[in-house]
Amino acid sequence: MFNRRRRLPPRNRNEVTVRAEGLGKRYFKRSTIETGAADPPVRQQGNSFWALRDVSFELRQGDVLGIIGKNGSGKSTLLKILSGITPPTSGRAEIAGRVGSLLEVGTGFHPDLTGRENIFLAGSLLGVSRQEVTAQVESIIDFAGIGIFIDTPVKRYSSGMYVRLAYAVSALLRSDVLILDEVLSVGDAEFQEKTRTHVEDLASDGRTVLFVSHSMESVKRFCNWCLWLDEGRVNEFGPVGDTTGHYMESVSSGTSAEDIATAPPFVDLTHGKSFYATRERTILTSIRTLGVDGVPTRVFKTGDPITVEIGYRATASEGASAFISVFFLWPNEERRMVLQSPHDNTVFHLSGEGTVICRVPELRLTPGVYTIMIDYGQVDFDRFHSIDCLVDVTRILVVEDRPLGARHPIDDLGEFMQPSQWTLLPP
Amino acid sequence: MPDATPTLPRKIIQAERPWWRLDLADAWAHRELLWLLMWRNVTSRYAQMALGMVWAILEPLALLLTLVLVFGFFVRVDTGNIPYPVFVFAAQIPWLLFAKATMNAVGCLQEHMALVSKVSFPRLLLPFASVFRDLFDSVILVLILIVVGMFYGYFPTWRLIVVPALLLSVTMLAIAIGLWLAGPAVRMRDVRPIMLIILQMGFYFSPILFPPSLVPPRFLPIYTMNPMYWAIEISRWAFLGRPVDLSPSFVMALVVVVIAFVSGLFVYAANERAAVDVQ
Repeated sequence: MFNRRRRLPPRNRNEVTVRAEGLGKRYFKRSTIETGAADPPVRQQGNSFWALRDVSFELRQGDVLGIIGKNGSGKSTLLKILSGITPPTSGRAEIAGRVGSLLEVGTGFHPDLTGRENIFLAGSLLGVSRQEVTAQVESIIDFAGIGIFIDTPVKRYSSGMYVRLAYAVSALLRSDVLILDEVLSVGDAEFQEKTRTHVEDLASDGRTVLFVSHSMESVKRFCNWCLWLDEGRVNEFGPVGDTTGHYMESVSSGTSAEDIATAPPFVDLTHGKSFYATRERTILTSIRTLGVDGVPTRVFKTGDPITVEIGYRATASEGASAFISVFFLWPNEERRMVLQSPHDNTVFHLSGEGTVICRVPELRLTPGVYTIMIDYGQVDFDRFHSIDCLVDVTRILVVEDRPLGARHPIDDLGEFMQPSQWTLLPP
Repeated sequence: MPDATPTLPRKIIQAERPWWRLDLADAWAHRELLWLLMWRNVTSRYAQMALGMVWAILEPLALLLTLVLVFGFFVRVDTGNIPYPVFVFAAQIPWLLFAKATMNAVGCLQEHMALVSKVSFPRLLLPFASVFRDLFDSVILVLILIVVGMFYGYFPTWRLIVVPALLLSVTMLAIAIGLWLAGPAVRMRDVRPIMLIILQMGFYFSPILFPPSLVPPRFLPIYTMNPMYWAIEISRWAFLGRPVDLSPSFVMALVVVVIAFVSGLFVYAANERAAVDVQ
């Protein structure tokens, strides 16, 4: 566990490598002429809102920072500012040395170029000289485990190979500060183990790593410091164990079984609360969950049917080529189940007011509390564009009806409960 | 204190950047990237096409053939003693370069948004990288024109030495327009269609299909302020030996291009940072 990291006392090296002072970022919403008066979400004044506000912290050589917080809390915005992709609206940051950032796997890769050519392309994007890339190219290929495929165009790579090569390029071309967005959670177990060891080596070599993750497990494993963002502000910045602990306490509040069972199953989404991630337009107007026989409820037994009704209001152009996704998340925001509306040729075309109904015949999630996130988007020239994404719109409680497995409750029941038939041979 | 690490160069990230800062040093440090982006633009266009590089010449030649048939045989434009095909071809080369390079330079930020919004690199490289393909294509067309010209009895002369300078100045004009409009084109999708209309009109207004002697003389002072007028006339001079009279408005056109280019660098620098947030 993270004890291994602690062998290197986190602050024994003096040079400050990353210093953020009062960083803020204000975004202006796109024209709301067509949408009429949108309901102002929290943090919004006029047609702008602060995605990040007054963020200050300091990291030294060898620090590994985990950035946590709900969706829409400003994590990605912070990484974009520190990577130099977008300027802050206020405040300043100072970074020592070369910054390598990997905000999305494989950006800058060209599908028609081979893996080797892409290494050089990615290297030049990072501003690394050709000689330096040449010196590193074999170790990158080796780390990524690409082998003989390195001279094949990357469009023929499996997604795993793609991820491994992308990580290897950003991580191995020497960066003094490495910025990673949710990329350590991709790849197979073996590669994750490899990246973990690698991040440890980077840290003990005096580099600084910042990464965003939804997985508390990875944060605890990789990091020594933790920055918890909430609605664009720093809620807490401290040693990893303390901050993740406080975060977990906070997200599990309001999720007690009684709270959920007594809350109304219908939730109006048109009145601004802080639960949005993206709200370019107000399309999604309500959500309701229904159980057996279509009775509205928030409590489900494993194996019950569940129906999610999502109310919408859209003009014909807003509603064209619509995709809707329903995410079931654990309180720490790890995704447990994702339901998606048809994404291929049979997309929905919404117009006016109505309801989208999503029905699952048998809910197989393990008992516990789930928060629901819904996302409304359109496909615009092959790119999915999220328009109305709402986080934590409602919470449901899944209880175990009859023992499907162990008779006595055990801690970890996995993620799904399947009915199973057991046979003994010979009888 | 453990090992004394040398103090690393510090990068400052802040809201205000003085308008006069272009970060040219940063762009220079990324010059290898410029070459790779240029190469990527050239190779990627033909990667999936069976005819490959032939496309670079097929399209302009098909257009040329149409123009020669319509205006050379049906309409019978009077070009003096110059055969119509080479008369139009010599004008087509700078014009096609200008039109395509302008559209690509104007669209450079929008086209590369996937990269721009995820990777930090000097965005100043983009307008330059995006026009390289068109410059490359026009070099191929120059070679074809030389061959076609010989067929009509126009053999290469010392005058061809101005062709590289000509192509580069036309590219510079295209980049200048791109520097001014690439930022607005991200915010307003209308910019590119409007540019397309303007370029279409420019194609017929510029002396490509006809000699400028057909323009009423009283309009000539205004007519010759178009930088592309000079590009076309000089191209005909270089390839066909058609005399060109460099009037003061030639110098003015040149000065306009340089001013548009230099001011464009600052306009682009100011716009480029905001472009990411629009997406």
